[in-house]
Amino acid sequence: MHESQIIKYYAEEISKKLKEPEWALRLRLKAAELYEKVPSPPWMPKDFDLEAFASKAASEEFVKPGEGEIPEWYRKILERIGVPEIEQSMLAGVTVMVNENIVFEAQKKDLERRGVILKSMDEAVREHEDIVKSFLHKVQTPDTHKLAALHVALRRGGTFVYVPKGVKVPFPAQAFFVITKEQLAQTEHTLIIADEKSSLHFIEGCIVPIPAPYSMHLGGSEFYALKGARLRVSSLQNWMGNVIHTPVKGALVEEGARLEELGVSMGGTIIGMRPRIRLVGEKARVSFNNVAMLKKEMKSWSGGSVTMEAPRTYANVVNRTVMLDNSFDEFLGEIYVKRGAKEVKGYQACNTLMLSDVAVNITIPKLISEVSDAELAHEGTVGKIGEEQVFYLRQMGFDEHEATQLLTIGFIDPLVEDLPSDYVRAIREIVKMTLGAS
Amino acid sequence: MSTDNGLKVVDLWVKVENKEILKGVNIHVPKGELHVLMGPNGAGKSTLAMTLAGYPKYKIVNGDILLDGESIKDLPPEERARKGLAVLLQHPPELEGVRVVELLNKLIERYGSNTSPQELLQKVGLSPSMLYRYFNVGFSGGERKRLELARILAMKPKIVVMDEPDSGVDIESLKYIAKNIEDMIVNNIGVLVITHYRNILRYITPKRVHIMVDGKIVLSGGPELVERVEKEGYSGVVKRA
Repeated sequence: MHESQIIKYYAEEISKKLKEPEWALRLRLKAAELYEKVPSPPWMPKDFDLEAFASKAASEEFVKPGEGEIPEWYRKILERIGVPEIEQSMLAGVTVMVNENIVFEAQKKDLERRGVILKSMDEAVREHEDIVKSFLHKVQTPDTHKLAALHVALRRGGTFVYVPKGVKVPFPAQAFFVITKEQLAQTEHTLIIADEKSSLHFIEGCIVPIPAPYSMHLGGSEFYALKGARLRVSSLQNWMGNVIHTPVKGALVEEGARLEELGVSMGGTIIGMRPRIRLVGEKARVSFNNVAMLKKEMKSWSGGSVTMEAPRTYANVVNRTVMLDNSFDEFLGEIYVKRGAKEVKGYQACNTLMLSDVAVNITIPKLISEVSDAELAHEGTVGKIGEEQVFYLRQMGFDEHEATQLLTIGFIDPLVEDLPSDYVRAIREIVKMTLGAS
Repeated sequence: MSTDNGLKVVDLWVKVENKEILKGVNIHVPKGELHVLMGPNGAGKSTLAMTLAGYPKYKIVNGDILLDGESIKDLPPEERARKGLAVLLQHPPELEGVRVVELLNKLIERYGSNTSPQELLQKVGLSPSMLYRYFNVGFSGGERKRLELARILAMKPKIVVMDEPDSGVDIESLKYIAKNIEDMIVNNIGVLVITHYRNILRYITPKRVHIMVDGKIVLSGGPELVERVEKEGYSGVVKRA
């Protein structure tokens, strides 16, 4: 059987299981066909078993872990990190649904009162066709590469958020996902739409280490900031174990709207994530920050692509990576200014902190402009911890290890400081644990 | 009181990048006394301060450094600090991402100081809004020296060495630094102020003044030495000595 046929088979199975409307199935089938035509991303697993992945994604059932299913050693880690309160309640089994983004119940009610639609993605496709149909896979498209096509074809689970016009959500909405040992293939999709002049901060993922055996996480997300909206999305992941984390992400920002995206990656073995962000309206702004901590044999393909399609748009992309052991990172940062996009400003920075002599970092800036007056800049730095700073801290009484910890946390801090404080604390503890006991 | 009390530098010879900079320095700063070390540019004053702090690139080839009679010359910088020797650096580096409040809290915890980051900043005349800034990042010359002073107060030292606390600072900062030096002396801390500009000597009166030329202390005396240096210059003072 051809690859596309294999995918089609499972795509139909999923669509049927979810009782999807016809248009949703057509999206899947089109993506299945594209799979054979589009290139592989550089992070495509070498021994990727398409049939095994597709059948897992189609057949696995979502389960709730029982009360006593959190092992003792894992609880100890959680205690040390100081789990954000909201994640604690999740672990206590209050609102856990595996393989789906879950929102804290109390928050859910508050959001609903404000008119925010918050549903599982699968439900939304059935129940909010009118909205979903015009956004789903419009900015996260299947033609990017094979894994993007595969995600679209096998999409299952995930979260749908719609903030109506003018509604401003005053607290960060937080959603989580978990996988248990039974689940090896994940394809959940997060679709967030901030309608005109609305505002939302959405935190997704999980900063507590998520134990998982070999598995592949091929989630996807799409963020839409419509005219004048302000959307912040913070995505956190800290997989423990042999996890391939290759989410496919896209975002679109309209006139006068603002998107602030933060990604924090602390775990996994292969990370492939290059979001595609389109600024389509005048004065649309995006700030995309990414923090990664790579250790052992981890391989990461980071960066992203921002397309500036309208005048006076603004993009600011900052990547900060801490590299240990034998890790590898290739950053590809692309800013593409389209004809007609006058007076745009695009800035990107890739800063790498090397805590190993054998880790490998490659930084590739790509600034393309079709107009003459674009202001584009790239800054790339690769460096060790400053000797002067280490000495300064040592002569205050901190030993070398403590000094390295403090400075490594300091390297990351400017990008994560705006998160709720318990998340910042948890991230710091994870950095400390990764650098080893003092 | 034992003659070993405080900081004692004994016949100290130091090489920097294979060049001899200190050539047999002797100095004794007992607790509760203010001493001033003066000397022309290139005499080795800052080398002495950095050597006392334990800067790894400066090699001690001979001599000893004693703190309350115990040799600390082979100890790493952090252990010297923990034993009570604090050095105010002339050019403290910026610590991006490390907040003032965080570092001061860590020091307070480490040294069991009975104070708060707010109080420490108040003592040196810095605004509480600075607590949430990154350490030294974007600080003016005067603000940097005052923050150095604040973190040194958090360390509860026995001996404080200050490398040019009066260089590149405004009058207000200078007054705060002088006031804190006075308080330290009252609290039985020994202080060695290294200065090139002598600005600070308008506000404080040392018990002893040492003149360093070409890696050696060539003259030690009372506060009247400061005036003589003003009038005759280093070469004049040294010639008559």
